Amino acid sequence: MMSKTADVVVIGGGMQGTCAAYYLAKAGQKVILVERGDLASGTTSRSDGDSFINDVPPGYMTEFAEATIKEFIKMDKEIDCDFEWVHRGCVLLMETEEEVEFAKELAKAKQATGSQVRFMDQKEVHDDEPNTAPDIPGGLEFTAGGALNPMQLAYGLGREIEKSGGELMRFTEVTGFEKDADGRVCKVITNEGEIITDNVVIACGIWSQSIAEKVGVYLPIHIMKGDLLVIERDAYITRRKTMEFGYNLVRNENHSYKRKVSPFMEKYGIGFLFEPTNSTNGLVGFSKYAATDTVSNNLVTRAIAKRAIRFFPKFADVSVIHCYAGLRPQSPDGEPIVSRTNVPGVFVSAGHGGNGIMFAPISGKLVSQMVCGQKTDMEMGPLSLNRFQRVEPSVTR
Amino acid sequence: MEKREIAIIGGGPAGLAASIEAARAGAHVLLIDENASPGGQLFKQIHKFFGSKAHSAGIRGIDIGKKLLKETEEAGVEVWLNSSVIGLYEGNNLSVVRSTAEGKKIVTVQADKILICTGGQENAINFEGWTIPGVMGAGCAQTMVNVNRVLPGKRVLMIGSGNVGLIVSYQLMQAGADVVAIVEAADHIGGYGVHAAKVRRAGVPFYLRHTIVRAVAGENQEVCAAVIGQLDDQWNIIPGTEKTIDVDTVCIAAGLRPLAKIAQMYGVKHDFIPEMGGWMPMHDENMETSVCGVYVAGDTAGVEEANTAMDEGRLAGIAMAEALGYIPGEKAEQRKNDIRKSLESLRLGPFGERRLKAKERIIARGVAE
Repeated sequence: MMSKTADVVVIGGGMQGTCAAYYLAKAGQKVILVERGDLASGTTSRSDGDSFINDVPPGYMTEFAEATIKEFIKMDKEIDCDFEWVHRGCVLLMETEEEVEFAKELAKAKQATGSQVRFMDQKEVHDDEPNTAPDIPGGLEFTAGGALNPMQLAYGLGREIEKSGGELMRFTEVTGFEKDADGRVCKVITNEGEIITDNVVIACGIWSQSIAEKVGVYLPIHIMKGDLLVIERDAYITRRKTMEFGYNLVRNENHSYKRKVSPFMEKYGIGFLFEPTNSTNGLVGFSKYAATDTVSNNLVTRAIAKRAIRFFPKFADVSVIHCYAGLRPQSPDGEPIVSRTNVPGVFVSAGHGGNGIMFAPISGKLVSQMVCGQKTDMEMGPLSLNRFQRVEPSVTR
Repeated sequence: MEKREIAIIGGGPAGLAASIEAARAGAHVLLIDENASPGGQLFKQIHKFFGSKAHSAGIRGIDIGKKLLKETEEAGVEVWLNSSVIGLYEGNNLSVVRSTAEGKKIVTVQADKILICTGGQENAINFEGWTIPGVMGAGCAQTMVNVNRVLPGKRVLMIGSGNVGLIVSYQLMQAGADVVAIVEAADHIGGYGVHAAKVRRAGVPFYLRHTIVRAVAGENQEVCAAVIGQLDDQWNIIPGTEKTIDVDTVCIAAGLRPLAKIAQMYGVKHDFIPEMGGWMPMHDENMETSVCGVYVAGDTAGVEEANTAMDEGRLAGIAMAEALGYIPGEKAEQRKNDIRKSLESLRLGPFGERRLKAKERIIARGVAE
């Protein structure tokens, strides 16, 4: 087989890989994207799809989220693909007075850094959406952020990459790498031949760790499973993406806070989210627990439904037509790894956990800037691989 | 949560045959069917079967169904009727909407071995007016006539001349309907000559290289006419050849595809096998899929007919009982080989050989990732 040449080889054809390859191709790099299956065949097709600043703590991560929303808005105008981007903000609902107090503080903190967020009291929440359970004491409304169809976007970006002269090698598996005398990566070996290149971006989701190992990079990523339900068409619940506040509170601000949920819900990381989709089949989530298979768990889906009914009793009368589960590649601290590595020429965009779709555009843009030797839009320290010490993989499960 | 050794989803010919074999071997078998009585398509088949004596030639499908039901009962199979499996989840957990005396409730059944034999589903054709009441699958019309004894209409247009299109046309005529025409996109009749001859003798015209252009709704918003047209070499309708036919029912007999949604949601490896109806679960020579302990048989494992479905069901039933330790390996292997030979003999002739080759290809490629 003849060997090919490229400025950059991107490994992975999911949301991270297609975004990274898109920005690289736009920057004039000759890109080859290598994907083991078809585009969007892994976690990208087993997620919900949205991008909001409510999912992250104030500070750097909120800036990161705002930057990615801007990229989605730009992409929506720039690429020749309708990826069903709907920019209509979201609502977070509280369950207790204690959560209301936290929410008010959070709103202030986010407002202080310029985020558009508004606290709604009990009456405002119900005036805004009468389907909300009567005892919900408050909500936070975020104006920025939207929902999208990740599969459409991955395919749309695939076409853009090809238009810019890039190449998609689908159904192609990376089997190894070669380095030059200085230790810099110089070749990617696949089952379809070799690619001579100076740069490699590892962006293959849950497979990133094993690919990184082949080139001598330690990438600490563990796998979390998430279940989602799909409801029947035209069953109106609420017009905007809506989530529970408590789950994010525990994740981002107050790790000692205990939500009022059953031990089962705690164990399987069950929280409420509802995402209206373009096709009107709403998505209901979610769960987060250590597992490596993508078969739905009926006890978990039942608990998700129960949690959803807690916030919107109307769900009890809605039919679930389908459910699915996906695997989320997660770094030890839960935040993405967008970074150079100890091997010159090897870069990583992976470990985004449950926020992979959301952070893909900005991650792809930053990794492209690093590869091209440009000044990055953001400071890269907080996303660097250096923040993790080499430890054996049993950690943090 | 209820536990069973074997759960069989679908009580058609494959499911009944499998449950009889496994229960006779001593396994505790639960058979789940969403209809009021099991038997699947057998109870729609009022015609006599072809082939060899060993494969019930000369016997009507409905009588084979009755015999299997009796054997199921004698073998001690537990049967849940009016009960739908709505999903297969992590840990071999089946969610079943079960009918009980107190009404419907959702029950979780965990089974060591699961056989999915949910049959096939009719292919649809999209044309203008295809959602108007009066347009239906040919299999649907057959159920109405042969099971529910309801005539779907008085003047019927049949789209498709495969065996289903031909047999259902004849049965609709026996039930008192007028089959106005049979439309076929290919340049030859798809089904067996013997079935075609019966409808031809009764004076039904065949329109070869024709297709339906649209169904027309009358004042009552139901079908009152259909427009057909002739096709050119590129399968486009030749302008000026459109013809309006006065009908109240349009039946679509455009083939079937394996119904394997339960297998798909459980991560069973699938592939596209055109000879067997398209996207379908892969299986090995024991009818076991890529997921250990999950089996498929009958139309779910590739669209064929009742005899192959029964044989595949037997094969799966024996394999499951063997895996549970109820049949010693050597004896099981011998019985399975007999069934494999029987299946081979069913897949002969110009129609069967394509399926034989397809099945060989499926088994050769294996179920491993």
